[in-house]
Amino acid sequence: MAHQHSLFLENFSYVYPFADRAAFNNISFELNTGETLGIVGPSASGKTSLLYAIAGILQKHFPAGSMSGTILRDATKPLIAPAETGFVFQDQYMQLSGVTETVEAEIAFSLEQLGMSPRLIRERIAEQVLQFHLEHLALRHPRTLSGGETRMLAFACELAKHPHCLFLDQPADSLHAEGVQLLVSVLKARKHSTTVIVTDHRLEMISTICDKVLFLLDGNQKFFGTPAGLLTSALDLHVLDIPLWIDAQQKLVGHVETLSYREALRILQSRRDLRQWHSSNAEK
Amino acid sequence: MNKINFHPSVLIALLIFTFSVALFAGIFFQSVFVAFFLFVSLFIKKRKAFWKKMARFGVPLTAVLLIVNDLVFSAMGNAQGIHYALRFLVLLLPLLTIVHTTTPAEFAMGLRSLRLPPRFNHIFLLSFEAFDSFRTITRNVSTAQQLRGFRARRNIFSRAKNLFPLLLPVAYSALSMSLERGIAFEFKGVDSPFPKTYVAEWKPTAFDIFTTATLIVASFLLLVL
Repeated sequence: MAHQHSLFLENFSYVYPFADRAAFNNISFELNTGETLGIVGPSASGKTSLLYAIAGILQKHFPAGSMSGTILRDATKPLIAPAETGFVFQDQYMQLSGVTETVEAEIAFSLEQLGMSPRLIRERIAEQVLQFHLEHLALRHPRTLSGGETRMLAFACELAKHPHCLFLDQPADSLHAEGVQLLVSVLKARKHSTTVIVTDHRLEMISTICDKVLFLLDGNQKFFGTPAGLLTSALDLHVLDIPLWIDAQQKLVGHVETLSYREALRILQSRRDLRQWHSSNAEK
Repeated sequence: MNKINFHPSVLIALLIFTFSVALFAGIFFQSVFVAFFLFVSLFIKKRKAFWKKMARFGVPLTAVLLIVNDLVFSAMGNAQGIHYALRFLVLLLPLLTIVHTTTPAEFAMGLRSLRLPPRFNHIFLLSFEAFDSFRTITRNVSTAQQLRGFRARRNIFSRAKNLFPLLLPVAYSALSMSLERGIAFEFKGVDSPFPKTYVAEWKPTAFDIFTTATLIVASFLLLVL
């Protein structure tokens, strides 16, 4: 099936200048417009580097590195097209312009740079303030916000552009549970209209919002497919760092669809406790 | 007077005039200039922070310049120490006054109304952010050292000895943070070819234009005369 603006990577690799190993190696996948891709894996597995490469940052700002393989993108557009793409960095404080004095002005900043009309800018500000529950913070100085509030503001700034493609680098960091739920609901609402590529450790969130999952280990692609596929093949992959709940769901075949994270964790914990109790009794 | 509400164009012109005074004016004019800014500093809103910086940084450096230059150039009998110290104060006082009376947001708003290329405005502001990052990282490293048992208030030499090897990595870190901030700016469209629109703008008044022109002419006259 032919899709517009699909992302296609084949044997895509990148080595940073002076590095002795690839940041990521032989990555191959295809993503259709409007789909959500989750890049998961343990720390230092190459998630952020791959996200930077897909967003065009590595090609533009780290051209001294060695890049090989294929990444298909629209050649008529610049590597970084701010009107069509949004990027929320891991460090939300980097996202602040530093030249605005209110949350509303901070949201307006990128829209002003893109030449939108003042009327449209005001509409978009109202929309994002409402969407991310920032009403009580609208007139606060961005530098006085907490980590979680700044993260919400960063989402609002990027989503205010109504981007076709959104990159999120560990978006749930510094968010409380309700914040994560809000983010999940916002991303679900934009499904099919925005292509989202997100990196995170939290498979619970990834499996909720993503259509496809790419699992990286030491820069190598271990799995690409649906979240359910990752669950069923986790043990075959011998991925030790994969969170406990996948392990638990693997052991409880038949409950995969219905078992919640907490339930899985509780069952796994009770089994572990039982095993420990048995082994301590055997020692005695 | 709680806040000086001059347009940034006036402030830039003032900085140019300050350089001219420091380089070309005589001791009497420089003394009047310094006295004027010392008087102004008594009325600014953040005068406490202003004088804290002066006590920590301005006064010791002025004293060092005065003493060292008097010792080195004493044979010339030309009051070199006073001249160097005055020059330093001429440069420092207006800069500190501007920093304590104008927020980056106000400055950015003013710069954009001058219709300068947005890229120039943001490079200008990013360079300020780099200094801020440098200060934050140094403070964090210093706190981390203290938490590991380093007695920061021991004496100035051991503090300097401990901080010196960190200067380069901290500077590198501040610069790489600026790079990341620059990339974030790019995603915000700062570098985009679209004509910019602004919800709020700060246009210079006739008084601002007159003051800017006067300061630039005065700078030129100091250079010529």
